[in-house]
Amino acid sequence: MSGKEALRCAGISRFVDTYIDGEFAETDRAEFEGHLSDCEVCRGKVRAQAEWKHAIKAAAPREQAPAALRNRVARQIQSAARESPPMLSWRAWAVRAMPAAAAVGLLATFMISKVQWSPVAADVVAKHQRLPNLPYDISGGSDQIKKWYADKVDFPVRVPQLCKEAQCPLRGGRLASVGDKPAAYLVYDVHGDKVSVFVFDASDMPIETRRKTVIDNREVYFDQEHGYNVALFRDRGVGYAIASDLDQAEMLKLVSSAVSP
Amino acid sequence: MGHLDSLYATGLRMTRDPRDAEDLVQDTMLTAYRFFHRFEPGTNCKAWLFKILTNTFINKYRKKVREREVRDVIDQEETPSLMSEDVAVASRDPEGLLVGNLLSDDVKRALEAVPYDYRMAVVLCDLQDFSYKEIADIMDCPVGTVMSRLHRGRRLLQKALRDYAVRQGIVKAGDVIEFPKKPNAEQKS
Repeated sequence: MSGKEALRCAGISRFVDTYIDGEFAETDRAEFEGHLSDCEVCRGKVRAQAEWKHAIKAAAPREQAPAALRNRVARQIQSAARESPPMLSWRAWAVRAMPAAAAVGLLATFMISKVQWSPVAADVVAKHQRLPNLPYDISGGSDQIKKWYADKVDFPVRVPQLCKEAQCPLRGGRLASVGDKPAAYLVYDVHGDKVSVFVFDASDMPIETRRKTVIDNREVYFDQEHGYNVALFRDRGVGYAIASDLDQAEMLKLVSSAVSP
Repeated sequence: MGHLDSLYATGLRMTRDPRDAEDLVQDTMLTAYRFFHRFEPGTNCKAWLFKILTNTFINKYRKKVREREVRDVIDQEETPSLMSEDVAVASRDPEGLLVGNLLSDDVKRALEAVPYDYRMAVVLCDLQDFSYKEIADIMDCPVGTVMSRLHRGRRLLQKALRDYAVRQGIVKAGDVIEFPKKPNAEQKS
């Protein structure tokens, strides 16, 4: 083998993985195969690596989910389906309308798509884009609003204060949902920007994201979706999600005020 | 629930503990159910579930698993160190890839010796057949990172399999390996 060819092999062997995984673009693949047809050494490498990939897959442990787990998951989903909380999207309604067992089937068959993590953040941002412009079910002072929610959701709705009352007045609220659970929705006016706050039952609701800050001994998670900032935290089992197009520094101020009034 | 077996097997690769894997899968399925109205038809269902699995693991279980690993390291006198540069040797030596009679237990054990990010790249690509793009979505990293993790992960796994074979006395270090017979077949279940 000439020095030049050896150099070419060294350059190309880095892409053996890409080749056997079928991840090359058409033109790159053609070039790679062109080299392979001339080079016994690289052919050998490709063959060995492909055999290895095949052998690993064949020998990989394939544990089956224990029946008890399968039953637990089915039961849990059935009981979640029975809770019948308000949901806003038509698909959610369709799911709730069908028997839980069918819902489980649907979960496996169609469920689909690209999740924007965290799911709670993705959900509240989608709603934040829509809800502030819809009419409120209730408006008035925080005591009035708190009282209004009392017989509508089964968790206490403590109305957080995002800054001094006069500077960011509470505009109103309505019933909404987070995931498949009922939520109290509140809209604030922060210097002309609408800020959404969702209050919801946070038991087994995944609010954790990778960006965590601790404010006043409380874990606060931040996320970003479609250019909106979201802050998530728990207080006595109740979850709070704040969504706005304010920047992070301003969000941090609002959250600090909300967690330690 | 068609993907439950794949989720559970992968949960085991993540947590290396059957009880944690069950809890992880249960959490994953409930989260998936709760948020499933957010998801639009047309993309890969399995990839979506695996993303939830991965995030749930990182958010809720990884710390616990790490603590256990630290304990294990203290408990074990000899822990296989895979991060040394002799990994490169395995990749230069196609005969050393141990393609022969690989046993499920060996693969399981060898995978457990590979650090999480590299291990998961290999598991998602070679065991679960995800594309680089899907793995990038699941692991929340660029495709280039997937490629480098996969490359290194496979070398680490090859080395771990080889080390394991050496420790079992099946091959001597430096031997060209042909795997003459199944290692201690009667001890495996």
